[in-house]
Amino acid sequence: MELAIYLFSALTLLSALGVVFSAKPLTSALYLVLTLFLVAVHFAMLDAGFLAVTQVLVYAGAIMVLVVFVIMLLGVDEVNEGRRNIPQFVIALAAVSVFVGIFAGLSYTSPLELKNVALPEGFGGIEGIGAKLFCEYVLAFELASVLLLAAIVAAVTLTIEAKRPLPEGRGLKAMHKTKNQGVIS
Amino acid sequence: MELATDILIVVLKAAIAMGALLHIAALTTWVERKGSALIQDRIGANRASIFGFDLAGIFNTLVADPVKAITKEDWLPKGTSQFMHSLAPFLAVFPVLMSFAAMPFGPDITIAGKTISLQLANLNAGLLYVFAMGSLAVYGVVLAGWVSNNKFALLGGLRATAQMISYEVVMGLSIIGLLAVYGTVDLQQIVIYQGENFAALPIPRWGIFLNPIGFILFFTAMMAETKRAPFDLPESESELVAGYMTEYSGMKFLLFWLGEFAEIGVAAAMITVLFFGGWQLPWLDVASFGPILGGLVGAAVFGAKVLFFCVLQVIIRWTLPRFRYDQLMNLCWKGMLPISLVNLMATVAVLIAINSK
Amino acid sequence: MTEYYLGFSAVLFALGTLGVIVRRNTLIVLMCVELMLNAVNIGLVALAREFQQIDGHIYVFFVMTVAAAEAAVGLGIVIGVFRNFVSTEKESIASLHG
Repeated sequence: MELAIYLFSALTLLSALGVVFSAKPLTSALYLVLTLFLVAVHFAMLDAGFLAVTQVLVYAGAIMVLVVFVIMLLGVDEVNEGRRNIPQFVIALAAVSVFVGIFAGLSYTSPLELKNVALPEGFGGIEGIGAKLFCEYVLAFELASVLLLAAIVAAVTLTIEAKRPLPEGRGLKAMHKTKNQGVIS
Repeated sequence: MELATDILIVVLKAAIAMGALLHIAALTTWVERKGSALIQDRIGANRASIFGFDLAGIFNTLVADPVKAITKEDWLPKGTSQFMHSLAPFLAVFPVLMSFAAMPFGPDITIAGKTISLQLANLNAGLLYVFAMGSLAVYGVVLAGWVSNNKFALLGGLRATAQMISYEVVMGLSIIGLLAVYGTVDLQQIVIYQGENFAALPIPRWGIFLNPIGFILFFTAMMAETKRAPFDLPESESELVAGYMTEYSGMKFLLFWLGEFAEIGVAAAMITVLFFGGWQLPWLDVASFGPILGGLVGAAVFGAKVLFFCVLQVIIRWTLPRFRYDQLMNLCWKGMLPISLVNLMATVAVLIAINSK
Repeated sequence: MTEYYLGFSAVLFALGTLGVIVRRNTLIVLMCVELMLNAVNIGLVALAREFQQIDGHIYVFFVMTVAAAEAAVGLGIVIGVFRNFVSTEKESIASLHG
């Protein structure tokens, strides 16, 4: 069991490295899909069955489809990183290493008594989550739905294009009028 | 020893489940060719024969076509990497095969004192798992459109993606009311629920009687999800060459084809499990046939129902004309989504009214 | 085992932060932010299993919802910026600079 956890952790780290250091955005997006799938595997190994499936359904199946769709729609799958900034990279690497060191040190020397008892029946199943979600956290649930509605309205407002008025006349004369209007409106 | 037996059982179940799905996909391909010929009043493919027997075109579709596809040149368009080009058919097929893992074939069988559930993965959230795999199937399409370096393929891929993610929403919403009646998302429990009869009438509690509008919505959304006609604009043979599959030939094209027909099989399996009783026979108790015979009868009933719905989807494809793209999107967002919401509210209202008596 | 998962979550979070600082393409920065959110989700699920409270899973559910909303709006902004600057590099969006 431990071997499976270490193996999947190694795979997840490798594909996260692929996300961060890929040259093109599309390759990075595909590595991120793989990372999300592996994170769902981790959820399943941690007895969170409903969350594992929701992760694939929402994150890998909807959010990343949106990202890939935007990359292809804009056609920006090119490599133009230009000159590298090595000092910036080194300082950032040092800072995040300090963070990881502090966090891992704290978690491995924690004064809490970490228990390892058997889990209750049906832990992580849909019934338990549903009961908690709709009884104790129902206000947060409703606020989350309002948040999603706000996000929908915002996304449509940001990307909607006003319709250009149609030119008068028919045939080549009308087409010639619209030829030089350009793409960016 | 215990572990070895368990692993062997899982491997056998996996082989049987995947084998069954691939056989259903292959048979549906043959049904498509010969069935379309019957519907269109022509003969169809009947030239390939072995020793003079041509078995109504089976040798043509199932032997000659794969041999042709495997021996064709593996052709790569200019400016793309071989890895991405091969990744797209893989991403189109892999989630579809995976989603068959949660389908229940029959009741639990007992062999030599060991209870085996005839389901490859007994998941608590089995239905959500199938939806998750269905939403992963979008990647094959959009990647195939992009990697082909071809404006028509990209257009086909983007249109297909938009269509698939729109109809996923309707697919999910249309059965929530039904799930409220069943009270569970576990597919085996849903099938077991459909075994008994109603309290008042002597008919079984199948999903189609509980929520007929949900069945129509789900069936339509599933056909749009598998990009089958009348929603097959992404691969419309008369408009976009072959849509997102234009730059694929040989075995990669056949993988896309196989993925599409396997998705027909998965759609048929979902419909039988949710609406038509899965492996249950109407007024018999399949599990009472005996420990092993019950499982076999259940699997046979399940297979028969799945094949019926595959043939039904093929017939619908060759009967209805194609939607235009804006008609398709209007139907989803302005037609089916409101109807599914009203269906959900009506089902839950009836459920509350019945339960509060 | 929970210690291991918390450390693993920290490493993923660090990778995501590194990506946000170092990379210049806006889309890749968005994806590194998603990576950070997923690292937090792993930590929450590990702690939920340790203390056997399903509340951890509920927090993860809400983090996923917020991440979805943020990704949608962020991509809308990227599309808007692209329309005006025809570029997705954060270095070239410098109209307000100095």
